[in-house]
Amino acid sequence: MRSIPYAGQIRGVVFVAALASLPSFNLAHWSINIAVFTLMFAVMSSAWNLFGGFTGYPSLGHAAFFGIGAYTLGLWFEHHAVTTGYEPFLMLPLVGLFAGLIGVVLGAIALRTRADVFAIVTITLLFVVQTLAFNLRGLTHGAQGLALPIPPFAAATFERPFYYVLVALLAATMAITYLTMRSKLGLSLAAVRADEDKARGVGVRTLGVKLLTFSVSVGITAMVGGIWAYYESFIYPQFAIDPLITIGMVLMTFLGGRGTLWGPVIGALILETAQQTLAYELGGSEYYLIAYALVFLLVMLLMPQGIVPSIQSVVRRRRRRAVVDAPGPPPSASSSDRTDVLTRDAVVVEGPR
Amino acid sequence: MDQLLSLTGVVAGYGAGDILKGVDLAVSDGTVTCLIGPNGAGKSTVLKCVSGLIRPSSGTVRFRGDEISRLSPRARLLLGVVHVPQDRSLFPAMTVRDNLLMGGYVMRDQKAVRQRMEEVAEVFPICVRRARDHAGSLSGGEQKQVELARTLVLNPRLILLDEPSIGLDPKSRQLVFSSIRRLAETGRTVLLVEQNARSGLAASDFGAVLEGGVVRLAATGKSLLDDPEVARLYVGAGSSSVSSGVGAPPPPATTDGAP
Repeated sequence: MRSIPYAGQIRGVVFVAALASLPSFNLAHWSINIAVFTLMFAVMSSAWNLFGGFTGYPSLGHAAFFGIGAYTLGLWFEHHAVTTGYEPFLMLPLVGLFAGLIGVVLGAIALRTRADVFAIVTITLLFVVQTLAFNLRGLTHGAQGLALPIPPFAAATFERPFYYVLVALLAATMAITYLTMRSKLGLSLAAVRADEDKARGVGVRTLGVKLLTFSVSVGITAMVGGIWAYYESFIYPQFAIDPLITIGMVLMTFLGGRGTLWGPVIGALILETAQQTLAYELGGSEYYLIAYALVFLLVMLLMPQGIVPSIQSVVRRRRRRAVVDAPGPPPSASSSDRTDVLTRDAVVVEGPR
Repeated sequence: MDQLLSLTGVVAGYGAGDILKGVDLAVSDGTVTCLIGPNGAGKSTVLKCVSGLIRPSSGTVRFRGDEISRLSPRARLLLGVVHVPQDRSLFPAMTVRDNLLMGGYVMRDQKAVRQRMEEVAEVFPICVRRARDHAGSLSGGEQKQVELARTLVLNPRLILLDEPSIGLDPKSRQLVFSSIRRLAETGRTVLLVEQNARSGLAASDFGAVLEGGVVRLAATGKSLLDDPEVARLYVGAGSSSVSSGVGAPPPPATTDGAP
């Protein structure tokens, strides 16, 4: 594991502190509500990116685990009382662990396929789980839906506990992503994405690294599902296991830049905020969907690689130009041949270009 | 010279058919040995048998005296047997630096990997000059140099090179063969397969002619180059005289002395 640069630590702390301070500005309920949903998608996109972005495997079944998380929490609190209101949050790590274990079992089968076949297998998984949620009425109550305890929080600050838990989960997910990028695991994932057969040839245990990241990724997604279920207090199969949730995660990750730390978060901040705000502004007319599509098209036209990789390549080009245009003699052979460029700490994994 | 690698009566192939029909070959420590022969003779299959990508149906492969025929490719990698396949084995979408890191992937000590990378960079300066560039943006010759550099990160004892000059322009080819000589100068043993027999044998201490799945002739690289029959069949020089070795029943094949 490489040490974390000072600038990276500062950026992370400032970002989390800024997010945590947002509710103290006494924003309207609808603003905090948008922030809660934006954070949910920021966490889920980051989780999807951890697997799909770094390995290049197009998982379309993550919403199944969102639903598994929602139903796991819901079913648990069908039989257990909530007193302080914080018990469901304390259960989240167990929800994540349970979904992660299911992810190991299902991943061991699905990850034997690749590319478009993997996409088909995972989206099939999503519909299988949705069908089970509809039909296992004794367990899930089927289409009637499942009620969760109403959170006993004060109406004036009702959203805040959810908001803070999501900030903590986002910070944890980004920390996991960052540490992965700077570790041997990150290098393994980059090799799998580049060429899985070659990766196996140099000694990467490809199935193992894919399974590990898949289970962590779906575990985090399930935790968000649990938070969502508690926030909504009532869940239906068609909303808890909704293909649009997966599509949202994937779109946000691609918009921000897959295989990057900040890309999925930026993608979620733009798309989810735009979607929710436009829905509020344009109401039930559904014109907001047109505006939402326009935002997405505009960014993809201007930055087809995604926002973060596009900015990174502009910065890289400018730096190169600055070196070329700099007055004085060109860099000496001794400086250009310094081997520390090979060995000094630097982020290993970069998004595909 | 100590024998590093030996193959005895190796029979192997793909599916039902055998490509190798009893290969006997010995490779001495610290030398470059070139396998030549017509297409389909089984040259690449010999390398795959040594690296573990194919398991022989009979016969033995010994490395430093130990039988390795049943070991996995990863186990052989850890013993110091590195295979550079014919196709470009670099990860084009990864930087040169990350490709070098992948070379030491099976090493647990990351400090040692970085130290090895520094040592390798002294032999192949391109690894520093192009460290941050994507491997796919390098020319064919440069990519081959990085591939060779990557094999060195693991500090291998034996490097298996499959057609290292394929698809390269003459200048890049020259670069690659001088890099192979440099590998030998650093004490590595190289077993290479080469279609360009003239360049391959010229860069090698020893050579062996593989034909019909068996080694027909083994000698020093220079004597094979001078052999009129080998020259006529594989090097492209015109000659009508028939050598005693090629086409005759296989002599005991060894590359650490005369045939």
